[in-house]
Amino acid sequence: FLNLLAYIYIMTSIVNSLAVPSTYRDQLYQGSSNQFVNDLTTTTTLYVGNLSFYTTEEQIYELFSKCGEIKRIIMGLDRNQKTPCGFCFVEYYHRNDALDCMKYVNGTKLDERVIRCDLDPGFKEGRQFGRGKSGGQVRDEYRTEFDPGRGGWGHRMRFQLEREREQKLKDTYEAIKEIPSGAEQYKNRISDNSGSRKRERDSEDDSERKRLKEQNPRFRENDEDEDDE
Amino acid sequence: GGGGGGGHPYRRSGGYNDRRYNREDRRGGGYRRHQRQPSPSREDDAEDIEVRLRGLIIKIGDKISPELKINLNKMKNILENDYAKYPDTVKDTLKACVTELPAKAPVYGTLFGLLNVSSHELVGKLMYEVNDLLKQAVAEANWFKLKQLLRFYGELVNANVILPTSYCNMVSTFLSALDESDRQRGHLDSIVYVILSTLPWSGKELSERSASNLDDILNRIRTYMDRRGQVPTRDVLRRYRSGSHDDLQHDVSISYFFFQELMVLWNHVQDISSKSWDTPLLPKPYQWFDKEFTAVLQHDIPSVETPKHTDSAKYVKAPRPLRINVDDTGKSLPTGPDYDSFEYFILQDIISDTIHTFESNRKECSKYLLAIGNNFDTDKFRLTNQQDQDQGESMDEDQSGWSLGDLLIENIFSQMLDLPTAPYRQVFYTCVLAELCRADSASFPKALGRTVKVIFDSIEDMDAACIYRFACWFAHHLSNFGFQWDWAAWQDALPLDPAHPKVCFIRETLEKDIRLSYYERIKSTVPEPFHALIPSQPPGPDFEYENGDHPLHDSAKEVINGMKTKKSSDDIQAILQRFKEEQAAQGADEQEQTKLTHELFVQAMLLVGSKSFSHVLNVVERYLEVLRFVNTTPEARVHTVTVVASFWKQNSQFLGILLDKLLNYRVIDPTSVITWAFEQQQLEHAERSFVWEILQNTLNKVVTRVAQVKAKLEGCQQMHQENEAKRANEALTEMAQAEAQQEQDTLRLMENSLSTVTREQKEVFIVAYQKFVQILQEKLTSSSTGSEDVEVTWTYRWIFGWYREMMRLYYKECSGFMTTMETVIFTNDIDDRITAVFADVKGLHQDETALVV
Repeated sequence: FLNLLAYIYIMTSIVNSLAVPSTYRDQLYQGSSNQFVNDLTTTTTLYVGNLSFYTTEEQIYELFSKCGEIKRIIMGLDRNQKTPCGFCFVEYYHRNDALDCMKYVNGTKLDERVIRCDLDPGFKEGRQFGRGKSGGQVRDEYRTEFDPGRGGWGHRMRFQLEREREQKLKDTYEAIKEIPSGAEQYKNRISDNSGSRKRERDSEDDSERKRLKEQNPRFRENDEDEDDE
Repeated sequence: GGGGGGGHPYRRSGGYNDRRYNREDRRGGGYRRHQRQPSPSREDDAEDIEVRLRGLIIKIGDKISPELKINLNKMKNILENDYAKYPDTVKDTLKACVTELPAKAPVYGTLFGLLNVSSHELVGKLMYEVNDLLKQAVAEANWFKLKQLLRFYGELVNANVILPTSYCNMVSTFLSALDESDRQRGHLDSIVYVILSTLPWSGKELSERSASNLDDILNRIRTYMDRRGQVPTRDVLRRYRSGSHDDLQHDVSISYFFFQELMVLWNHVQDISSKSWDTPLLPKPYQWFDKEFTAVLQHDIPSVETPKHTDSAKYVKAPRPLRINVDDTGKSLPTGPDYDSFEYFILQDIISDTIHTFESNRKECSKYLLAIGNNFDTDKFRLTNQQDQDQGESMDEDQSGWSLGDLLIENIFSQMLDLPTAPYRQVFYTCVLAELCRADSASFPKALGRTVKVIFDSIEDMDAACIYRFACWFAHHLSNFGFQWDWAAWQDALPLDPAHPKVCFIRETLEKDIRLSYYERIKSTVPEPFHALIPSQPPGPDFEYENGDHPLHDSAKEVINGMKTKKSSDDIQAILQRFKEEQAAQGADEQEQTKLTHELFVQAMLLVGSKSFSHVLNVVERYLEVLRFVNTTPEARVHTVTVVASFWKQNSQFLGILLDKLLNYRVIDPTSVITWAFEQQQLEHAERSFVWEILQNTLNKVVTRVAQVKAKLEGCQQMHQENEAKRANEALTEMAQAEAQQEQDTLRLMENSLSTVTREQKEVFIVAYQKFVQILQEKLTSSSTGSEDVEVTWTYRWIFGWYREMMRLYYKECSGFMTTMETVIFTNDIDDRITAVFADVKGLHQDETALVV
């Protein structure tokens, strides 16, 4: 179906937008094909791959915030070691920002590695862990070439620096066990939500809430309407 | 070489499509599209042929060369033979080509002409499609597409597919809007620009075959240009303080600077018309077939009017050049066409149209940009290494002639640095420039490096926000190319004042690069003397109670342990309460107790969250209740900002992220951030950009919030109207009445919500501008009494620069309360230099709504 979409697009324009998902489909995705396509056409989340194991969330933040405000970043972790294993999910507030990322950031370098981005149906608990036999990503199980950012070697100096980073990471890294939900988008303190609380018929808000709830079991129903005044 | 080969070259089997399907690499292969599994079926084969046919149509005339004549004929034969088999492929591809490949309009026009010679009927079908595009563009008010189509229709005149009179009639209909009075200037300028920028492509044919019609068009435009007059340039939009690179023309008689893009274009067109429309640069493939084209029948084109003005219309205007490659006297260097020439305008226009068309695919964008040198009838472009190699000549770059690289770079920078905002996100320009470096690795990176040095040399004249954008771009660019740069070339800048723009540019670049990479890595890429511009320590937290001797060390430890063991908010509150009582026992007054408790809690929370962005979000989310509890007063909120800023004083990125999120969690508010930003301590480092970055983020949040509520309200209003219309046609039931009532209630609530957020927006802007004006006024007053000329101090220049930026950036948002600003902020006692910016910003708003009488 996605191929078909792409094909139709190609016919009416010679510009092939890069803001389209790849043909990858998560093998553990729970849901129908229709649901999958629907998720991809509304998602604000990106999968980001080919990261160095030592790339920090802040580096990712610095690059990806060039396309819009980031809601949260979920680092991919080695299932056993609970250390970063070279991928992450970046969630934006707005879909257009995720699409801009596909156009402008996918295939460029972060931490001197060409990173890959893909539209993702949305983070689900458990997906932050590598699925390879030894705990990391499957691709690293079969990788034969050396890769300085993923445990191989490169320039001597880079190698030395990467070794120091590895040591530092091992010494200080604490795996995130609980994934933050991320803040709602900015709302002014002067209470403007008296309406939204009563707006029961606002289906858009409801579906958003449902989606958040599904995505994150810790999503609190009243988070949005909480007010300190 | 050129496009379409001989006979049916695309009928080769296999090879064309990359069918490799790499399982290992399938995740996110950004550039691969519809991969199909290899399948030998006939259907697949037919599809393959269509793909190749499409490829041929797209590639025809990529290079203007004598072989093109033969290739055009071959292409014509192919289309004639295959149109019946693949009508949709041919039609769709040609439709895309004539609107998306601006430089090749002459090629496709000639191709239509050739087809028209052999099959009037076939071209009739194609014209049906093109005319449809025109109607569509008008219906959608797509001015950009309208311009592309006008250029193509001009080429159809050249190829005698349509009559010059038909074309002139179409243009005349477009111009009819000019005859009315009190129309939006932006709208009318757009019409004139679309016509003037495309008219030269067919000017010669029109002047020879329909001279009186052409004269009429020019006369009507002349009348309009006289009526319209000069449009003053707003000083606040200058990218250089002196205006030297901004293509400004100074009219001493009225002491105004003008950006005269439209006037310049009009002068060009008048000039060419006086020279019998000779435009040597523009390719004229139709001339090869003059004889064939004389004895053919023409096609009709529809009569359409230009789109009407709407408030949301996206008008087009001539690109604003940035004159980078000039000598000391401001004259163009021989490495490019003269800035004042029509050639420069045409190339600039094509570059800008190409960027607009291919914005969503940077690879194709860079490919088509690099092809521009081949799209014109000129040998003025210097050959690139690659071409030299093809011809087996020397490896050295030919240094004479125009450098396409330089031309592309200055046009991309011109957009990137456009004020008040660039057409696209800054990161778009980074990725296009990086793509260009990869696609033309032999000469583009050299040209880019050269340009960076040229810009650096005069950077002290540059607008503050432009310097910031330039540093952000440069840092990101370097991160894509191994952080390699000829830093030594800038060693002379090191002894300058630490707030000098040159020093700031280097320091900001390195700071951004450390964020994108890491401290040790960046330090290792710059020569020793530059280490002075890098902090002595890697960016880390600054925990106030770190030292075991600190009197509050143990109390802090208790809070931290509580947080680490995930104690409940109540437990933490209890610890804090106990701490507060201890302070009271030691004689601290209520204010002091509250302050210390607040600080202890925020510091502890920051330390627990210092590992990463997710860690801090987690701890903030867990103790949000406590956090909001201690932040109920405006003073407490400013205090929180101050504590966060002191904790992360060595890591401006973490500081920025945290304030951003604390705003979202409604722990702090915009006013607290603004108050902090204008404290003396921050102002002392006005030359650093992070505080301004934080300020701008904060203002953006408020603005975005209003836009969101507004969009939601508009959506609901529309829905309500539709439902009302539906209900009007149905029987009035109780159910329908209740529905209508509920909708109205919702609308009212949303309107209230909008007025609340709009009020907040106004308040926030008033506070921010007040602070700006206050500090600038203070500095100016102190200088008039003291000996130091404050206007030349860098600190003043940075604050003033960011003041200009924040004023022009939000001129639309502020347009609703200009009068309040005038009475509250920009009063008579404020220095003229400060109020001039306000006057300019008011002007920007007037420009947008200006009518031509």
